[in-house]
Amino acid sequence: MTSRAYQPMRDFATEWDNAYASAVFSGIVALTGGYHASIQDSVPGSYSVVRVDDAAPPGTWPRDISAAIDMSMSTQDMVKQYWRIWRVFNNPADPRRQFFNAFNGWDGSGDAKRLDFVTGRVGYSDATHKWHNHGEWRRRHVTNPTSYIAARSMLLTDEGIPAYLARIGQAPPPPAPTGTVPGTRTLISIPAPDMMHGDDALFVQKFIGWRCGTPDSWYGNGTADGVRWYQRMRGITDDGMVGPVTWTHLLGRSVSY
Amino acid sequence: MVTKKDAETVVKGSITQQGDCQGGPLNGKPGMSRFSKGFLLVDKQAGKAWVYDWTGTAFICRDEPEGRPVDDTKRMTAAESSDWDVIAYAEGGAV
Repeated sequence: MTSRAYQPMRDFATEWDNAYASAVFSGIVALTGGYHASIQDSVPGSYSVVRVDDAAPPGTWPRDISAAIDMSMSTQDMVKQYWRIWRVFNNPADPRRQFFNAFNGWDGSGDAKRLDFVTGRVGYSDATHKWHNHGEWRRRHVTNPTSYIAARSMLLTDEGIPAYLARIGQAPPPPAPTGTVPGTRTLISIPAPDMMHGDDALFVQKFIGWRCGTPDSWYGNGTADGVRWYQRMRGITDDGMVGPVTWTHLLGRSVSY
Repeated sequence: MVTKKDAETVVKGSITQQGDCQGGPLNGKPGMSRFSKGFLLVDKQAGKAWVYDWTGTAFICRDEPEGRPVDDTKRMTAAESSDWDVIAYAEGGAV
């Protein structure tokens, strides 16, 4: 049994150390230190091995690496970083959240806090987190390069979601086009990059439900399949397009345009 | 001043040593380390460091008041070790 530091995580610790004037790298591996210990070295049933991610089968990700970084900082820098990460923690739609398990730190008042990214709950942490911040990865993401881009974005900068998406090569979703009020245009499944998108597509997805897949405002093949099912149930032409006839059924009123 | 009974507190599976500091910039102040040998106090901006050894009841500074030059390689090694904590010293101390 052993716990080792993953080199990209070690590199990120150095980067974090350099990013704040007062910051000094404080720790990464400990044999009995929660997420600082590998899953091999952790006590069965402890808080750091009970999440669904931790049950991933051997081979999915290394079992001998630690998953947390400690960084001691001045109160001023700790508070600055706390509020940086709070913006991400407080937005369930922020894509950077998915890589992290928790963050322990101090907002400058009261007890040290623990932000649990999996449950979304704010708890309390021990007094050592008044002099060091603690970042915890979800174990399966320690070897995911994108997790370090996300960590850099939310721990070391003030950048928002669009800038982060640009860093990982994903353009932010375009704003919903005008004229997407349900019943005002025909929805057709068109392959990317011209896929139709908007509140009307979202309305259809939510109205029909799970047969359209996860509601995301994009009118793709999954949504069209759900629409075909709906059209068959209504006894109308099952072409997968939402035109005036299908809109009339969906909205319960006559639609023409 | 903490008592011997209070000197070791279990925090999330790790042992935290707590006691007063003697010498160096933290003289007379409470100190804390999660590891057995003590802690390295680092003022990165000033380029200075102080080593505080844990004696079982207190942290004793082994350096002169002006400290020693920071060795970045050594402080990184200390951070990765299971013996020493590394603590930032800024604005009069992060401790």
